[in-house]
Amino acid sequence: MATVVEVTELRKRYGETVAVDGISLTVEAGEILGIVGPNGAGKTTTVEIMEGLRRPDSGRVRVLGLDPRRRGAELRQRIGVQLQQAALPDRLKVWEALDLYASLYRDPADWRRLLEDWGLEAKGNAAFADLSGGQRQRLFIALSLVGRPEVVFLDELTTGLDPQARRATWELVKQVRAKGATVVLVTHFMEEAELLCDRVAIVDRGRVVALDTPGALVRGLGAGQRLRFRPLGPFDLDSLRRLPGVDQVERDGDQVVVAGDGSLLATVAAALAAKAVPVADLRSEGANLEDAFLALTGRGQRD
Amino acid sequence: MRAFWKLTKAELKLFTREPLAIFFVLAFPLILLWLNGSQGGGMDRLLPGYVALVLATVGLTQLPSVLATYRERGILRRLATTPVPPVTVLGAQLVVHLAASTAGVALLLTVAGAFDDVAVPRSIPAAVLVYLAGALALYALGFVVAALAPNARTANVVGFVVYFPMIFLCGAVIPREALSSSMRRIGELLPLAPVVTALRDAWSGAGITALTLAALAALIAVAAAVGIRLFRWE
Repeated sequence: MATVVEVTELRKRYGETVAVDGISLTVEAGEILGIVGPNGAGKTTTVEIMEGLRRPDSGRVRVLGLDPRRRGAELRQRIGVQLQQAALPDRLKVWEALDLYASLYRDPADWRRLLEDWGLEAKGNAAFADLSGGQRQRLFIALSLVGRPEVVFLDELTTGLDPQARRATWELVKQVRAKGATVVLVTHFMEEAELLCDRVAIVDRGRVVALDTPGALVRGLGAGQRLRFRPLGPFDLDSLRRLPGVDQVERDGDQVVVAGDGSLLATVAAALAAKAVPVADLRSEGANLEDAFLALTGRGQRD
Repeated sequence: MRAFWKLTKAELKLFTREPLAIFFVLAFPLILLWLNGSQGGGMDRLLPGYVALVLATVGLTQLPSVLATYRERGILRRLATTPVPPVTVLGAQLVVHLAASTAGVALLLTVAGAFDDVAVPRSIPAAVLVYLAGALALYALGFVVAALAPNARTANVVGFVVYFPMIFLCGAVIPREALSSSMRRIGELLPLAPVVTALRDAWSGAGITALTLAALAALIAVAAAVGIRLFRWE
């Protein structure tokens, strides 16, 4: 697969603060690469260097084979950008913004189609200032696609969206990729990265601490399965501790948490049935990207 | 070129959606004309001043505010991620503000012309040239204000602080003849003075002195250079 973005030993400091401390990564054609990390980890600085908005102190950057600082004009024809913080003039209407941005590119997409795709057709005549947070976000994503980009950089894509809009947005990002674009997605939502990204770079303190598929990152934890249930009556924890594949059994309030390996659910369910122990709310919990993230960065996200 | 015209068109539309800007650029000079012109005579002194007033209003109260707001809110930054070069964005702003000024001046001269034949300058080519040079000088000054101000609020305040003393002391709102000699002397040192002088000379057909032209050229060159050097897109 062709490499679309190549970043080697990138460094950037603002005064005393080191924002990016030797980041290297590649983005392959057609993938969705997630960049996740705590606030201040250097995610946004890294993508803004890729977009040519910032100059690195050192390191090499190639996007679509171009150096963003030297061939910026050519590069900007071929990339789409959704910034974490951006705005449009208050009184500019939605359709005018799309029409205007379309005119800035050599071979733009049909902006009326984008208006429909992003559910903005009813808001076409609304002024930017009158849009809700979610509508603004959808407009910015539509604007990032109006130049038919080969690579799209989406920074905090779904921040400010309600859960429903967030899911709808994920579907649309998948469609963007299905149409052949490569997507670089900066996010602090682990669920979003896990569901959407082919590979995830976990960035912490200006460095890439891990880069792999979400599945591999989670497996790398070595963590197995967890079961959680609420016994309806007196219950002996030791009876479960003796079962094969069970590592740990604990009480958590009125619930029991059992940790162990892959076939845990079948083993425990069979044991409970055999003893005729009534339980409620039996759930299986696999480790997720959030666990991997916490393990790799050694702390919670600083919000 | 397509990007340039689209940007210009969008910005023109935005201008027409700002009631306050419309009032100060289009209506306010007419009110002054009505107040002072109805006392009879002196139109040849009033009109060049009002033309300079329109240029100063656009250059110092509109332009810095628009640019600083666009910078503060990330509008320029968003544009910087597209293929449109910065010079195109600034060029569109220049054209839009020139169009707004010209609309204000055209309205003023049309209304004044209905009452008095001095609405037409003696030397039209000189007046057009001086008008364009004055526009460039005052927009460049406004550009410097936008470049130096850390945010939109400060840009507005600084713009007004530069604007108000100048329009009174340089003979834009009140003809110089009505000012005390000490006020006139202060006014002569301010950047709006050569604009007013050159416009008055174009109106009377007296011919514009080399000193006035040199002052205008120097103002344009210095302000544009400082503005371009200091203006940041974020």
